[in-house]
Amino acid sequence: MRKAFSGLWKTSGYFRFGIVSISFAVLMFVLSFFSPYKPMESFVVPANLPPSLAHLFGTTSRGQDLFWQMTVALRNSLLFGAVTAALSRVIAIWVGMYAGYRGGLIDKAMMAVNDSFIILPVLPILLLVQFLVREKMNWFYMASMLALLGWPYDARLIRAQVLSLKERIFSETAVFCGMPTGRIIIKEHLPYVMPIIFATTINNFLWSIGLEVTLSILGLTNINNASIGVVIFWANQHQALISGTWWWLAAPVGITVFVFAGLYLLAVALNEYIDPRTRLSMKAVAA
Amino acid sequence: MTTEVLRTNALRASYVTHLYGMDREVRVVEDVSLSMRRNEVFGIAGESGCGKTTLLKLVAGFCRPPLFVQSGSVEFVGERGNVLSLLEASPDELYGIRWRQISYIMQGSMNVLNPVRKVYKSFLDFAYPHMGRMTEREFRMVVIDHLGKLRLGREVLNSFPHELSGGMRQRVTIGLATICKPSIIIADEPTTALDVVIQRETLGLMKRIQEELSLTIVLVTHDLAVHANMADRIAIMYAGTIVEEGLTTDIFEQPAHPYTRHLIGSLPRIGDKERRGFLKGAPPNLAAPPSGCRFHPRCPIAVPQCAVEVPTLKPCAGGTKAACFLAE
Repeated sequence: MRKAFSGLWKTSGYFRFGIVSISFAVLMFVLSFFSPYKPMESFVVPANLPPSLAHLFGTTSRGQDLFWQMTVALRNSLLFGAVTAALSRVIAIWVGMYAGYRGGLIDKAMMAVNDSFIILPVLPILLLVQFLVREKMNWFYMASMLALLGWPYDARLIRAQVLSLKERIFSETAVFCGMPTGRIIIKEHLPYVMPIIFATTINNFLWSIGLEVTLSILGLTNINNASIGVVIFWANQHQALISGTWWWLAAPVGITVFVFAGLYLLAVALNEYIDPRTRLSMKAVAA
Repeated sequence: MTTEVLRTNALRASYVTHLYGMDREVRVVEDVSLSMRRNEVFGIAGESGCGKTTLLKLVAGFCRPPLFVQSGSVEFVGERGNVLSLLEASPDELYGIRWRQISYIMQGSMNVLNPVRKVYKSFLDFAYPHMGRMTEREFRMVVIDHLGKLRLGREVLNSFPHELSGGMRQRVTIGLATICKPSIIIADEPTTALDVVIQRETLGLMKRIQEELSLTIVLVTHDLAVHANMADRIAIMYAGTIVEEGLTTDIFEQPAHPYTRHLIGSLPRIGDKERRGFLKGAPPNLAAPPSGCRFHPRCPIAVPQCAVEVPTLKPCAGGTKAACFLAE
């Protein structure tokens, strides 16, 4: 494990960038628990100060310290993305692998549902739901809802792989040997599908945070609960760009780009590493 | 020893598909009765698409839709004379004999190993559950020992299949099929896609294992040279039917069926520069097979009777049994 890490660190620039940005995110995550202020409490520090050593990211027009606010906002957004990605993976993997392997009527029925979900217009539905139940909506409900809308593309992707895998000789041999269906799917097919699952997880993660930001900017989430989108919402409310408090927008946007790019590059580097073919050529280089 | 270990009785099977209200039936195995004996290599030869692989699947008791058995049976005779009908057996009964009694090297045997699983994992997945009471550590020792006999080092176990050469992969596959010491190995084109050197090595290995364990190999290939080297008895298949059956030497020396004669006549011989003759026409469409003898449209010596009646296997002068009205 350590060897793999140092090898990747030495050879892959993607990996280095990814690790740096993840470390940054983790640091923010941990610091959020030591914040001296409540994240949304206003007028605890002087308003409208530009970034300085005392206030790393500056302060807002509402008298909040942006650095400490961002630690909590990033934590909430990351948790939100992780919960969405995890929940939607459960559905996508199960539907994709089961439908693909079973085939026949079960597959047809499941794909009919799947395709219905694909054609649903996500944003209008979310807007509508947020309008209707805005007060009762907390971040966990919203994550579940995004998970419910975010699985169908990936399920189809996984199913397509399994359709091909189950016709291969090793699958037939496994069936002939009397290996139970569940074991065939988990032991023989899942390793093959893993890189796709990995890539789609990161993708889904970014997609859900992006949607959360979209809804927050429109003021359609709980705007008293710090998240990246909510910080941007308040910056817009106070005309941050016009009044010259550019750092109010720079902090959430900059951090989002930095962490997202890092996540993406880390996923690319790890994907390449997970692929046995790459590991083989790495072995050849080492020898 | 001439005891039977596996037999098919008047086996008839077809692929049945329903698509958009259209029914299609491809009658791919027609009235096949074969008997395989203990400690012999039984070869099945025939051109592409004549039903060899389908017949093997049935013989292995591995019948899955869209393949359906119309009539007949496949029977496995155990060491104590107990008979198990493979096509009617329960999943538990099949589980009990698969790999332990019958192992099956499928067509495209280079791909039996999962490309993203290490070789040892494939052994664990496929063979370990059939080894009876044995700890994983013991099993690992058995596998290392067994692969050693196939001249494969223990480092093979921790490799991915693509790290092995074609010949090594083939040997691993044979190792996988023989690790449980079955009484029958069913091998579907085990040497196709290998060059002749590896082919010879692989065949030698199979023959050695067959003699060591005194097991039965059912060998399918369209390569008659392989059959000549390996098989004790051969069945020649044409369009889903067995047209001739007999000892390998008899079939090669005095084939009785006109199809067999042409098949053997088409083999090249070293030093012989004469052009080889070939049969006119194409293999029949099994969705609408010819009436009577399925070979009659292409047969150079066909008589009117051939288009009406179906010939059955009958003993001929050369020692073989042929399904032809004109064979003697």
